[in-house]
Amino acid sequence: MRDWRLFVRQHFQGRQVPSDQAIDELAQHVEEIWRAARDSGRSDAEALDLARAQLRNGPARLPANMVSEARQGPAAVALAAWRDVRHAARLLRGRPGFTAVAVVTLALGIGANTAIFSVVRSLLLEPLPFTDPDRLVMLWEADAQNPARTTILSAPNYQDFSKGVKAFERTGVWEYESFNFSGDGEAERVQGLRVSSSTFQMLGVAPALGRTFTPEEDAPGHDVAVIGYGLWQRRFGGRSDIVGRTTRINGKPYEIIGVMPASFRFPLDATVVWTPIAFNEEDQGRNSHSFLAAARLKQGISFAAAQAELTALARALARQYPESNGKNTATITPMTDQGLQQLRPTLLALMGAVALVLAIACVNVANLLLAQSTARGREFAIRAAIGASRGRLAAQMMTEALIIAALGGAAGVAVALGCTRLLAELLRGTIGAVPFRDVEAIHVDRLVLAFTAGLSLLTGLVFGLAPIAGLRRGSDLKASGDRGTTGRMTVMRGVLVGTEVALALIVLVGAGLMVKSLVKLLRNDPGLDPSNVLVVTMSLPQPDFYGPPVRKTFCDAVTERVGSLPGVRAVGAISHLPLTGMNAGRSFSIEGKTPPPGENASASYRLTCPGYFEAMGIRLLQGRDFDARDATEAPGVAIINEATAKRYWPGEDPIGKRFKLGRRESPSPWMTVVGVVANTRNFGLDDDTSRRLIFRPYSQSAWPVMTIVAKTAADPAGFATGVRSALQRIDPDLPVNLTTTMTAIERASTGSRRFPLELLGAFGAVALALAIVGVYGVVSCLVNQRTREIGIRVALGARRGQVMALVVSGAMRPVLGGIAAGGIGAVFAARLLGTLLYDVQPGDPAVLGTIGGVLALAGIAASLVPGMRATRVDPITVLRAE
Amino acid sequence: MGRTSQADPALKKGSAEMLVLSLLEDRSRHGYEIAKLIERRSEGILTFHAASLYPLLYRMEGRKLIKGRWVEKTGQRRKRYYSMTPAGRQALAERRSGWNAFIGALVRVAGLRHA
Repeated sequence: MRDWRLFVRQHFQGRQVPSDQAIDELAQHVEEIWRAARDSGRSDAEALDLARAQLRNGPARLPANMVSEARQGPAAVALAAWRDVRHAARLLRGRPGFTAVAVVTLALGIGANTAIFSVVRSLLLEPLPFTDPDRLVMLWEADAQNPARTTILSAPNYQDFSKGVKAFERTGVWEYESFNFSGDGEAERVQGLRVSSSTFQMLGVAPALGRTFTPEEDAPGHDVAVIGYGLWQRRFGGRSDIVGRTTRINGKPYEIIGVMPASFRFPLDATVVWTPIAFNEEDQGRNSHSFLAAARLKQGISFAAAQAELTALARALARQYPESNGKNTATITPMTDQGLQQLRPTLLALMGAVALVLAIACVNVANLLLAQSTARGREFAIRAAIGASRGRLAAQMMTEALIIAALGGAAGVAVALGCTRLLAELLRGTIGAVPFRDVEAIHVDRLVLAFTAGLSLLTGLVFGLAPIAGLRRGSDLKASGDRGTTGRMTVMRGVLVGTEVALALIVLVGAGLMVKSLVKLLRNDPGLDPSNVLVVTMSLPQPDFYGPPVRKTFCDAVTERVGSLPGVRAVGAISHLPLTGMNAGRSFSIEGKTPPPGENASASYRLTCPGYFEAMGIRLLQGRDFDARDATEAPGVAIINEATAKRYWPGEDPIGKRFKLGRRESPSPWMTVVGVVANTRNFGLDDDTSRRLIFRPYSQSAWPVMTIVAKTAADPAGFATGVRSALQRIDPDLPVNLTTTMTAIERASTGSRRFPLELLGAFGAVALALAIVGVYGVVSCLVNQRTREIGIRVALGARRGQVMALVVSGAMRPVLGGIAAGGIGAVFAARLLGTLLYDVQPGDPAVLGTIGGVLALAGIAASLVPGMRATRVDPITVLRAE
Repeated sequence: MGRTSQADPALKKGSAEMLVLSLLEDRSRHGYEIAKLIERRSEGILTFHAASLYPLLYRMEGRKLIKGRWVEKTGQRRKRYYSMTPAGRQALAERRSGWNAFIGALVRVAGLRHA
């Protein structure tokens, strides 16, 4: 039967299109004309000519009520849109499976993006919680040759910068300290700062209670303290008469003069006590770089102008003090960037990865819609025939896409709410604290929701376009009903699957590179055995660092009380625990050797209690550990590590050799090397092993914070309480805190890499799953469409294997294309990971090969199920259906 | 369409609305029927192609002279039937008297025979 509506529609092509109803009437009319002509004996061609003539010479403009509603005013457009929405909603309700898959897919993509964006917003975009934070800068001394290499300041240089730079409205200076807090309840060790009075004014933050320091209190001799909100709540129960109370800090009475607000993090969450800066004699050396500093720029002064003025002053100081400042300059950096050097590229890489995941989700949904539009070919053909214009059909399809996107966005917000909490947890467990910012405060807020809404709209537009593009091309769609557009649609879906595979490959390669980095890191021998080692930190007030210990019996007490606990195999203590980054360095002179001019022997300096090496599993290569012989009054002894031995006694036996701290002429005593131990990594698993170390017995050189390490027979967590109370009994006034395990410390040392790794891994898994679903969907569809062809092939004698090969090879063409394209993309994208990679190149062939292989296998696996279905095609049924 | 004796387009245009209205005076009709009736009763002198008939019908409907609605009769395809509104009836009366006066004048002045 001839399609008279189409006949009429074709006539109006490129002109004002009559409404569906008018087309109906016109179609009936011309059909009657044609029929009458045929009945009167004319040929079909003649009758058609008559029918066609009926449509010629109409008026130039159709009356408004005869024109397709899409061409009418805004009210009609709104009505049509509403009708589309209702129609689309009805269609989606009618296909719950399709709708659920599409919405869940999008929810994953949009949710992951929202969650990562909420972190980016809180940590990178949110202004610092200080007054006018844009004007706050950190102040550094730097290498004049390479100003990117910054160091913290010495007090005299800070004072000169503070006074001399006119661009600074105010400056502040501080040094990290940890304090023994006692007097009210149990003694505890807390983190804090010595800080100048000007710092609080510079930040523009007022105390919640009481006051901050006065300029007079910057001078030594004022025992006053400001405490953090958390400490006030926790230790003092938030009592309102806290201001003016006296507490004991480092064994001395201090007056609490103020409490800072809960939002005040300066610089970290853990910083809860601030005492006056009180510069002393030791701080006065220009070479003594101990202080962090910041400045507020005057209103209207540019960053560059301030930098220029600071550079000029630094140059003048370099001329004035060539000894200390000759090679130095000074720089400023935005305070808001503080602590983000590593985090910013990490978060940007993650943003990139989630964007790819979302793109994959979009491609998947686009593919689903394409499949749907093919399946709905007949519906569209009918609608087109009864006068729906391409525009109307496109609007209809876009409406469906946008509804799916909106549902996906809403579900995505739910996903994001859950993910954001997990992300905050993960961030805290891996990266830890971020200066001035509250990692806990990461949350989904209005801006994040706006981002999600925008993203959902964008995704709807993106994946909605694909089936419309298919529709546009398919002018044959209307004519051919079921099968007309399948060829083009198939090509298009192949391209989409290829794209999806390529994107998934990029994400997975990113994850793969991070995994390989971590594997390489973990393969690094830390030089010690972290398993079953309990770590407890203890403060031992000690006025004279490196001097004889105030508590001479400390090591013995530890050995006795902790060593005697059942299940404790070995116990010792050290001043600076490996893998944590804690460090102290000394230069020394070697007996009988003259160093080349300008180069002194130097090494990192550690103080230990006997048993430390055994407890940590650090191999003793030569000689002995410290023991009872090495008393405070006994001759000085030292243990060195392999790197030190190789560097200063190459080819010699270092045992029995002597050196002293400082210059040869100094009065410090000679020390004899009594042992050599294996190298360890100090700053983390990515640190090299060539760090030179010198160990001294605590009995001869003391340090105010010692870390006790106990090797236990089983899970060290079970020994924590016993060990802590044993230590407590040594001296109830001494705070025992930070109980952890060496395994946890080793883990923490890889945190900055584990954060992106775990997330990239999760995103990679989602990407892979989506890609598999995508390939499966397309191949299934393809098999459905080619059922007839397959049936004929089977009828002609094709074997099951051949049918299977036909299906799988058809599926693998776009998959392999996607792998090739994604491989190229991955090499470039992996560069974003930059310093997050360890000992792995962005184009690592093993990772690329493995991931490519995984995706190829996934492609094969995804096409096997529809392939199986194809082999079961019964030729008789298929051919009969025709 | 190759017919030799057809009405002058200007005359046809001026009279078209009256022709439609007069055909709908007694009963409602669908578009094809209207076109056929005009053609038959004018013995082929007046013909309306679909391309101009339907815009005319819709325009008249827009001016509330006629009203179209879909009617489904058993065993038949649904068709859109047009019927006259009161406004249409009044308009028909006015046109008729106008045309009568006009034709009367033509008869008197130009010596036309009354058809």
